[in-house]
Amino acid sequence: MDARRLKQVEAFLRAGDYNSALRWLMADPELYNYVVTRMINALLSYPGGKISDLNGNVWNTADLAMELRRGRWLPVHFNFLLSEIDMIERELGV
Amino acid sequence: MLYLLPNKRGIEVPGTIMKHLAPLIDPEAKILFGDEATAGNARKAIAELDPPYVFTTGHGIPCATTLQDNEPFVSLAIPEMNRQVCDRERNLDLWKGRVIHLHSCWCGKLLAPVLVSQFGAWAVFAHDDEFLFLLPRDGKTIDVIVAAPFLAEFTVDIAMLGGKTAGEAQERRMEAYDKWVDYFLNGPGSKLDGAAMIVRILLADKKISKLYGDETATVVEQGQEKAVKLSLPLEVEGGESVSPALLLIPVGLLFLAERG
Repeated sequence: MDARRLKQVEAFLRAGDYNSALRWLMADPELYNYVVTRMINALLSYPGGKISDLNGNVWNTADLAMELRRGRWLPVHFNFLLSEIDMIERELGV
Repeated sequence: MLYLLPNKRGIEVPGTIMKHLAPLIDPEAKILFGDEATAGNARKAIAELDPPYVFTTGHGIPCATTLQDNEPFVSLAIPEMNRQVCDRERNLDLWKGRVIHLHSCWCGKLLAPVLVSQFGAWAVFAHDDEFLFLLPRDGKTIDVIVAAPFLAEFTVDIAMLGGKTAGEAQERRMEAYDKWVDYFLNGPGSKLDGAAMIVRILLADKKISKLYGDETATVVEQGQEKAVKLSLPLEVEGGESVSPALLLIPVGLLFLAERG
């Protein structure tokens, strides 16, 4: 696990630079697959569920998981990517 | 204090929860719920009550927040950002000396800091990105997994109405998100469907929940903070089918992860 790479991805996300965050993450395919698999599993932990925001946007959790499987990243995925990195860093204690 | 609680177009859940919570933390709460939550009624209530604290929820973009039926409520004049809602300034004169909980997406990006720096708001609690939550799976039942992000967020209101400073309320807010994360990660909530998902949502919401303005701001005299217990589940009050083409949806970019 390349914790330094995760930190860099996190920094790009916090700066709102999603393209660089994704590029940096994909440069390590093993890390990318690990993170994305975790995100998909989290999304699928609420079968039939829907995520919303205060603007009335609604996403099916299963659709969000499917889009990720296809490598299609929606803006809302990046909110969860930051959370996933937070989770991984908690587990690693970094 | 004044609570502006629309209950349509995606605001049903926070509107319903705060409708039940506000009387528990504030016996003199003035609540404008559902179709009463209009800009005109809000302006009138602020003029009559002169409340030191206002809670408002609704749709939001960086330059504006709305009330029932997406009616623009507070907006900056930045038409290039949004021609429909930020076409002109609205209700920016209402906030001098007040503390506001601006519970809408994105307002922390611009509106909240401008209310502080240019329009005299004492402190503003806001979000600088999308505030996310899980919808009731049956469309009506607000259980703990649906309510958790709001219960964390509304710690702000419990703290402020309990005599805490804005800075202390912000600390409580951050602690509350962490407590709920722990509840779903390691506590009784970990056995629930969706525990892994709500943990990610709570972490995302925590990161975007900011305080702008004076950390020493208070709205009531220092006093004993109340222990507040809200009974769950609640049933969603109001709502209608969510429009897929709401006025305020930011134009999203699609990022394609091209492998290899």
